[in-house]
Amino acid sequence: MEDSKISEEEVKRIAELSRLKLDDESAKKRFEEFNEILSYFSQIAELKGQGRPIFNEINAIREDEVKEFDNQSGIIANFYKKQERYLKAPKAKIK
Amino acid sequence: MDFVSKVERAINLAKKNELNAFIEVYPEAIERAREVQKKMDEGKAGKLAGIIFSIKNNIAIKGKRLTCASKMLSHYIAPYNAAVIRKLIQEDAVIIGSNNMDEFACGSDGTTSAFGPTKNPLNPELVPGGSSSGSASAVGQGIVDCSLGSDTGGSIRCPSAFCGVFGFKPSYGAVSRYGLADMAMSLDQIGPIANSLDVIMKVFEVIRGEDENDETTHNFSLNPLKEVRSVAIPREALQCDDVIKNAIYEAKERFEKNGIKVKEVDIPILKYGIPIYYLTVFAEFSSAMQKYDGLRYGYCDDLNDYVDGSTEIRTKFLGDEVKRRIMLGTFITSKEQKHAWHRKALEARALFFEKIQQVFSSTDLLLLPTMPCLPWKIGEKSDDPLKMYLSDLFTVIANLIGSPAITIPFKSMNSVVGVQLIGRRRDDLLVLNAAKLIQQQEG
Repeated sequence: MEDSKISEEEVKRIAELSRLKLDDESAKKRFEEFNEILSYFSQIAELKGQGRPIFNEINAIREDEVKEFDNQSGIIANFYKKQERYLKAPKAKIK
Repeated sequence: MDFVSKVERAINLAKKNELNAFIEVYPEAIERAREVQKKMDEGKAGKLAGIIFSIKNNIAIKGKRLTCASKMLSHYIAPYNAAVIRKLIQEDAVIIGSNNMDEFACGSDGTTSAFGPTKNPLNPELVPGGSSSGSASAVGQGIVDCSLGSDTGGSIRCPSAFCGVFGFKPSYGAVSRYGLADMAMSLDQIGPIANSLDVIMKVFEVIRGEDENDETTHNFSLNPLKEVRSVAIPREALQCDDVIKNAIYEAKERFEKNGIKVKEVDIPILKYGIPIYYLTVFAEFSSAMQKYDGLRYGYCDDLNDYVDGSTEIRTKFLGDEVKRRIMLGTFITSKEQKHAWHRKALEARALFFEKIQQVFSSTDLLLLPTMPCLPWKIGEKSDDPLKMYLSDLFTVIANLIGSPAITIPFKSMNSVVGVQLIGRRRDDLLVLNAAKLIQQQEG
């Protein structure tokens, strides 16, 4: 974590992974901003030792039973593009 | 004024929306008020009859817009009721509208909403706090008796403190989050904001409890109410504005008058709360936001390619702070970072929890300010994200350890500030009763 500084190239790559467009000017602004935030946050490296995990009791898993949702038309009504009761989606090209 | 007229007044004020605390108003609430009035006359009314509510707009109300104050969801209609809404309605609550908030609950001052900033009822030039900005502003204006908000790192307590009202974040697991648009799922909790502790307690009693749709509530029970024996003030928390320090000392005296010992303690790990909290939030939030791809939510016009289309929509419809958190979360959880940041944050959070548990082995409550500073001018911190994050120093503690916490409004040197009590996880009743013990008299 000592090499905590994020590079401008990394900022652009992260934006792409986040599915966000970033022009050069914004990338520069984000680069400065992220470095300031991450430099401050890197102080947690000073904390030595580990605690026990918190909330381990909440890892509850329920039975995998199918339950019919009572308002399917309410979900479908929110689709912007649809065909009958299906969500119409574009192709996902592999680049 | 009878109940129906009160609801009518509330609807009219919400429609005027002078301080931009509302996103939508539900005029049909007047019909509902008449039904509830009839039940009250017949002596058949539920526990929340007579209380007027509004709801932060990240909690689903069936058939109503659930915008999260984002352009991404500006037309989204919730297809079901959140568990808490179902419970409110069952007990004859009347809900008159949805409240403005920071976009997707990302913010500490109410300025990141796509619907414009909310204003503070105590001084409209100042921020109301965030992210449940409209909730606290609506309660502070006296438009509604109660608003449900959500609290991930202080989002109920910060605006409550800034607007001079009560705000309660229950223990993690005490209240179902089914129907809450998640921000960071290991930290989020729903709770009430109100003008009186009686309303807070009544509402908490109704909304808490097990729900099959939120596993954090499974087998979760509250500790029975005990007397408060001892209270501790973290010395680290006394580095704040004099007006606020003054209120903490007054709260201390009030405890002591009730025969309760108050000591000062050192909890050096508190200063790491902000990095631990935000690194956790970034990681969980960037994952939670992946579903907003312009297809299931929003409007993907580009039907040629999914990736290009959703990139276009996310860039256009998400705000600055939301993008910042998504990108930082994507960065710290990326393969290249080998999860170093996120893992360290998880380890540090466990350590943070353990150190504070040690304090709770000899004390029942922490007494500290809700906010380290007074509300600032609208826009003053909008260009300085780190400065904004640092204002959450005292509120993130309770979320990181899953504890209940309340903010109590205290008049202090011509201002109103928030005094905070944090208890052990499951000690919600003790926290609420301690608040009752030290609250200043009305007037």
